[in-house]
Amino acid sequence: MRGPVVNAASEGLSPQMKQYREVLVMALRTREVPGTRIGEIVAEVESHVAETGEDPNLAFGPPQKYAEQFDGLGTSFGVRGVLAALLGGAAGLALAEGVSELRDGGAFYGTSVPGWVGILLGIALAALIVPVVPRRRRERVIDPRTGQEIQAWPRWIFPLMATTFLLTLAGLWWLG
Amino acid sequence: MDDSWPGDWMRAALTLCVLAVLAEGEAHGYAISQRLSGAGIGSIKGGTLYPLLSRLEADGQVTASWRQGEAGPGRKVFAITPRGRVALHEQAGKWLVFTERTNAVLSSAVATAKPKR
Repeated sequence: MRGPVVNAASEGLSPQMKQYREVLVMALRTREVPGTRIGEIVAEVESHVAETGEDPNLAFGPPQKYAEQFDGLGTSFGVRGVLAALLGGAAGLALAEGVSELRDGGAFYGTSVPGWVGILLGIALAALIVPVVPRRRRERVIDPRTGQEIQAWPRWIFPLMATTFLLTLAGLWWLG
Repeated sequence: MDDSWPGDWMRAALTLCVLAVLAEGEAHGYAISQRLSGAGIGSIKGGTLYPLLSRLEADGQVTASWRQGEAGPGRKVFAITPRGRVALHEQAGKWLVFTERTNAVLSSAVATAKPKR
């Protein structure tokens, strides 16, 4: 009834456990717990719950609370946070101005830079935010039982990001 | 007999009890909690047990490894280390002295403080 052991770790998880795992991984990443440690913590919860048949929220408490007792590098906002916010702001301005130039043919902040370039600049600035985010928060989380990466991003997050981006551009066009 | 003891009593004794269970032989988390509840100590939740075990691991008193399960994903099996045995022996000895003394004080309290009707 079960598939090969290699995939058993991620398949056959109850929806409850999948949900628990997503929140737990996010909470642990936020606390900057190392990726390998996150994998251990998640695997412990899953294997325990698989054996006892309990609800992880009852056996381990709410995932955010459970994550609190693990030490990471901390949740400090710091210089990186400020830098990420500045990049985000600059990206937004470049996008807005780029779209506005395309639509009305004005000047991109008084220069002769075409709107396309402005939009690309905005995307580039937004992309720069990624390396600014502390490496710990982007580390791969490996399941120690299988050696496979645990995908803990909710599946809808990438379509959501793409849609938000397109809606933002559309909004800037029609409302600008 | 109610099996939920006061939280602070449990917090005081649990680490030693877990080490004592592991001194009997290596075990995975669920087996440890079953052993403790079988001994009348109460049902230890996963959320209490695993962080405790990982502190013991960080102190070098316990080691852990993932073993492949027969039918499904693996189990994390914990084993006491020589350092853990030394710590257990020392601390359990002190605990027994401590509880002997508290028992003495409390026995006389229970004997004399009969509820008045």
